[in-house]
Amino acid sequence: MKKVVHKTFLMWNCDKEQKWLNEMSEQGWILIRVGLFTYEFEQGEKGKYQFAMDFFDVSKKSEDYIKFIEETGVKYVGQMNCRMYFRKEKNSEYDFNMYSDNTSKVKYLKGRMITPLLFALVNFECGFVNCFVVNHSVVNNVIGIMNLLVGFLCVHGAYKICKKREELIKNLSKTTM
Amino acid sequence: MANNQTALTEGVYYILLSLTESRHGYGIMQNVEQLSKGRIHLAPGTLYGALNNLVNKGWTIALPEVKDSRKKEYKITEKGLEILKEEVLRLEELAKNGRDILEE
Repeated sequence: MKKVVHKTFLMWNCDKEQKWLNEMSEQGWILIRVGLFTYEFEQGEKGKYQFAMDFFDVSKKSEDYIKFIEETGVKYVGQMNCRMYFRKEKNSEYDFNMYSDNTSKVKYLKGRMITPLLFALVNFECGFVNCFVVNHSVVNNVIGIMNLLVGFLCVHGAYKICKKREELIKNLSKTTM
Repeated sequence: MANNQTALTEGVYYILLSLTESRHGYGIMQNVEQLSKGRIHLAPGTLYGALNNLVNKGWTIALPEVKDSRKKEYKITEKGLEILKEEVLRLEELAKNGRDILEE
């Protein structure tokens, strides 16, 4: 049996998304495909797999990267909005994650900040044009204000990722002194 | 002894040690886990980043693939071996001083 779930996670809420995918897996719903705001699940063994995501950036030649990851016993599920989804059979000793040390996590978070910032920039620009440059119709003003709001939301998201990153760096310097 | 080199992380140290024999990604993960008796588990994204970094530094090389079906293997270079030996000396010094003082 299959089911399709439409759900949106803001891009800085990856942890929540991962938790949700793992909860679905615990209930026997295994993610098999992702699309735009769409998750396709197939019924299977409860709790057999764990899921993790990685951020896609151009420095990773994606074919090369996916091949490398798959050779370690991980299955690539798909990609959506710059996020790559992977699954692995559950291991009793440790949870499945794409990164295991703080140095690489810090780098990963830095990469994740770029998309919301770009989104913010585009929306601020559109908002500015709609509110102040083009004819002052109600429609333009409403769209402009919405653009500005989305822009602020994205800045807020990037800030949240930035905070998380700073916390990790603080922990990092604690251990390395 | 080279002082301009910072200490290797545990992960990088064990990856380099593993690559004194040619190994593919999964082989490195298993070897590191075995060497550290399960204490260190390298996640795949971390290992990928670390290996690319080591290749860029010239401490390891990716061996040419024999067939498309074969997994990509890596091996330590002369330079990498040198770094590793220096690191062993550094760690020995740390351990020796620690033991000497604490056992006094």
